[in-house]
Formats: sequence, structure tokens, C-alpha cells
Amino acid sequence: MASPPRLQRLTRQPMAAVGLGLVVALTLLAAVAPWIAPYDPLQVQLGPANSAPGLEFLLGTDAVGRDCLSRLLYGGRVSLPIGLLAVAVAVSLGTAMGAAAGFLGGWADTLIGWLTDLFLALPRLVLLLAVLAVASRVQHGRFLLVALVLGATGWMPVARIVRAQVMSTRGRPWVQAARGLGLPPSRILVRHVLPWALPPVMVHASLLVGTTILAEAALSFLGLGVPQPTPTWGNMIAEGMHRLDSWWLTVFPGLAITAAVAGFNLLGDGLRDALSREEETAA
Amino acid sequence: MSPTTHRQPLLEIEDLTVQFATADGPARAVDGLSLSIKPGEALALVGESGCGKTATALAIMDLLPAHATVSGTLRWDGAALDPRRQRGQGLAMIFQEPATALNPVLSVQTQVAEPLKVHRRLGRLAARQEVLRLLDLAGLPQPETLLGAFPHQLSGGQRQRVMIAMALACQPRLLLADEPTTALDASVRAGILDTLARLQRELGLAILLVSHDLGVVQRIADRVAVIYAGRIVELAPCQRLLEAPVHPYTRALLACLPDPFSDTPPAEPIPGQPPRATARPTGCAFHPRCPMAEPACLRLEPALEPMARAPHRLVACPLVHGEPA
Repeated sequence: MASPPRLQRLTRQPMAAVGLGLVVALTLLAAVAPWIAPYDPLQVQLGPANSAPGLEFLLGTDAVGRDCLSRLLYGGRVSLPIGLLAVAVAVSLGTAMGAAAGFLGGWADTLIGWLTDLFLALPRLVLLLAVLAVASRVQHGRFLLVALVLGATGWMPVARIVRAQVMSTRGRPWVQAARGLGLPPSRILVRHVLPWALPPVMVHASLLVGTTILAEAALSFLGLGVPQPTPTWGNMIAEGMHRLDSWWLTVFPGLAITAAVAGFNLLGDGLRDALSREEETAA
Repeated sequence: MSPTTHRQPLLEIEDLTVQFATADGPARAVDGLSLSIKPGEALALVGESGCGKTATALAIMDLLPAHATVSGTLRWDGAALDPRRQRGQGLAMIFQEPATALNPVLSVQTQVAEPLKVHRRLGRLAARQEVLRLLDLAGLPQPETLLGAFPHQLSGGQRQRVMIAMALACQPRLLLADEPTTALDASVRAGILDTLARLQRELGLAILLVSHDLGVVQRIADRVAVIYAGRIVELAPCQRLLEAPVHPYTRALLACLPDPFSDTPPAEPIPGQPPRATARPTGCAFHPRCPMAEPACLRLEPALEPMARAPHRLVACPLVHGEPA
């Protein structure tokens, strides 16, 4: 159960290693953005508007003369944390829901099953638009709001995975033995049942980060995400779409989103392979 | 403990019935079973697969699945038994498959310490000391070397001993042992049984042993209850039962035992199949397989009664009631 072999099993798969590399690189770039960004991302009229990538401005400038590279680096500081925070919300909420449904059974299971189906039946983007439009006056903490709303609309698959795992684990002999030892149900759930739901949830979570970053980009693109002038990859594309002749405005944030989504998806696939092989040897 | 309370049974089971809802209709696994266990006594429940032995043990622990309905009375120390309060306190259970009854991702120390932390509120250091003592008590030499081990690193016998240590952590007065040696090699079987017998002696632990193996039963049981189709058909002191079985089913069961010291092949298997729990025969459930069966056996359900000449032996068969025991 030591972690080094598990990590090795992950990095030995070339595609998973690429995914891990992309995720780590993007995270590092976003983390050190204030020190490596050549200019202030909010400073207008740094140079001529809409200048193509060149030596002075490596990725060019936008319509009001801001440096695109700096904005791209800073954008990662919004897009990535929103994605991760939203997934953390979705995983926590989904795990709580799924664990309650699978462990309690009965009416709790029925109720949560209904709620899951209800949320799944609603088109996510429409739901997001509705909530964010109603909350459009909230300007402070917009970042948190977007993350919360994205998380609150993404928990359903997690709940289903956790419920199924909990239901199959709660009948295992060691769970019966733990009940026979008189351990309280909460302890049995947390120590003897939930750990078995963790691997598939981890896999799903890493895949979810990709789709959530896309959803945030879509929201910012539609003007309902994090507002200007704060740069996010989504709202950078939104700005650039009116000037497709200035290709650098849309291509670079697009590439950043692609890299992040691809990175998390490859990492998720790799995790699935690494963890499933572990389950085979444990069985 | 005063002599009067000493005679009081630790656990009394009265008219226990366990019924499972199945696709073929209700299946009655245990059918009006009554039994009592005295403090410090080792009692064995013996019978073929599917006769209701395990269901009885699980009913005592309240560990049956949700589709089971249980009726009857359980008394603990003279008062109504609340399994949820007693389990992990006065009641503990060990299982047939120690390989799966231990959580594969927790170390030995963590698992044995868990009931200590929950029921006895021991701190980390005190718990560690107690874990070492319990592992030693369960017959694991050099327990320090096992603390960090995970179940897959242990042998079958070691796993069962860890299970025993976990059960002892609850300081039980009654240990339910469901086929504790069935999954083990013959070579470690005797060792586990000796450990159980030692614990019974040293700790005054009462043991309810569930087994299909009369050889296992013989090693530790004081009394034996033979169970057929969810009912006790014969209850007697262990030696007496093995030497002079009375009920036709007990006789047939003993006749199946191979004798390692004789060349004669093991005698007759019992003809026919045990009844399905969904379709219990009328009258005495054993009559379709019984060599002595008379027309009356189809109609009358025999009661478990003391034998005419040996009141400490109970048998549920009017045909053999008057026989010498």
C-alpha cells in the first residue's frame, strides 16, 4: 500500500505521464505568474493595440493594448482554481449524497435518487445561466460563486458512483465483522466502507476538472463567469472572438484550455489504469 | 458472583424463528429454536449446511440482512437482549473466512485497536499495549512483529487469531464462533481450537460454536445441540452424545464420520437431501430420510423433551424417548 509503487505505475504509462506533466506545468506557471509575467495583466495601452506576437509582446496585445502573455498566465490563476474548487465541491457533495443513499438505503436512497435524476435531467448550462443571471448583481466573490454553482451542478455522477460502491462494499464480510464489534455506523462508513469508493471517485474527479474548466470558460465566454477586467481563459476568448483576424487573441487561451483539459483527462485515464490494476492484485 | 446467579443462563433463546423473503416465497431458516447458554460454557450447534446454524448466530448478533424477519425472545443475563448494546461489549463474534472478515487496507494494530478506542476509550499508547497483550492472548507469539502487517501478509491461522484478538478486545462474556476453522488447513485447525478452549478456561468465556464438523466440536464443546431444518433435534453433553446418539438424525450424522484408525470405509451418507427452507415437510422434518419413520411422524411435530431415563438429555423424537441413554 506504499505510495511510490502507485505513483510509478502512473508515470510508467507514457500518456499518463504527459497528462501529469501538463497539469503540473500549468499549475506551476499559474502559481509563479506574478514573478514571471513580463507586464501587469490589467495595464492598458502598454503598447499598440492588436499587435501580433513579436519580441516585445511574445503573444501579442489585445484591443486595448494589454499584454496577452501576462493575461494568459494570470488567467490560469482564475481558471484552474475555479476548476479545482468546483470539483472539490462536487466531490464532497456527491460523496455525502451517495454515501447517505447507499449506506442508509430506504427512503434516503429513494429521495437522493430522485434528486440526482432531477439534477441530471436539467441541462447544466441552462441551470448555470439561470442561477448566475439571477445572481448577476453579485460582483464581489464572483469567483467563489462560479465555483460553487459549477460544483453544485456537477455532483450527480459522483453521487451515483459512491452509492454503487457503498452498496457493494457494505455487504462485505469485514463490514459485518465491524458491526459485530459494535462499532458505530458513522465509523464503519468512514473507515470500512468509504475508502473503497475512493479510487473510482478520484478517477472521475480528475476527468471532472477538465469538463469544469470548459464549463467555466463557457460561462466567462457568455459573460456570466468572472467579469472583466480580471483575465480568465474563457473571457479572453470571448473578447477575441470579435476580431478573428487577430488570431492570437483566441488561439493561445484556447490552447491553454485544451492543454488543461487534455492534461486532466490523460491523468484521469492513467489513474484509472493504475488503480484498477491495484484492485486486481488486491482481490 | 453468588451461586444463585451463577446458575442463571447467560443467554436464553426462546422460540427463535428466522425467515428470509426469497423469490420462491418465505424461507424459514430457523424454526422455533430454544436454547440456553450458561456462563463459561462451550455449546456447539451442529448440523448440515443450510440447517439454520449461522442464521441463529447472526440473529443473536442482529447482523441478519434486512430481508430477514426475526421473532422470538432473547434474554441476556435475565433481561431482554439488546444486541446493539451488547455487541462489542458482552457479545463478540468470529467468522468463517478470516481472509475477508478483516479489512484488507488496515493494519493489524489499527484493526485490533478499533474496538479498544470505541468501547474502552483507550489512548494511543495504552491501546498499543493492550493490542500486544490481546494478540499474545490469542496465541500469536512475538506480536510486535505483526502490528504493522496487513491481512494479506498473514497466514490463514494468523488471520483467525487476529480476529480472535479483535473479539477479545470487546471483553466479551459470550463468543460466537461461526465455523472458525472450516477455511483453515487441518494443521492449524487444532491450534485454533486449543486456543479457544484455553480462553474459555482462563477467561471464563462462554462459547457458542457453530460447526458441521463433529471432530471440531468434540475438542471444545461441553454440550452439543444437533439442529435439523431450523430446529434442535437433540441436546446432550458432548461425550454422551458422541458415545450414545439417540435421535435417528444424530445417529446418521455420526455414522458419516470417518474413523481414522479403522480400515472400514466411512459408513453411509444420509440418504436424500435436507429439506429446502421454502418447503418444510409436515410433522417431523426428518421423516423423509429417517429409517425409523412411522406414519405418525408425518403428522406430529415432535417436541424437544427430556429423555425418560436421562433428564439432562433432550431429544425431539417420541420413538426413541424411552431408550437407554
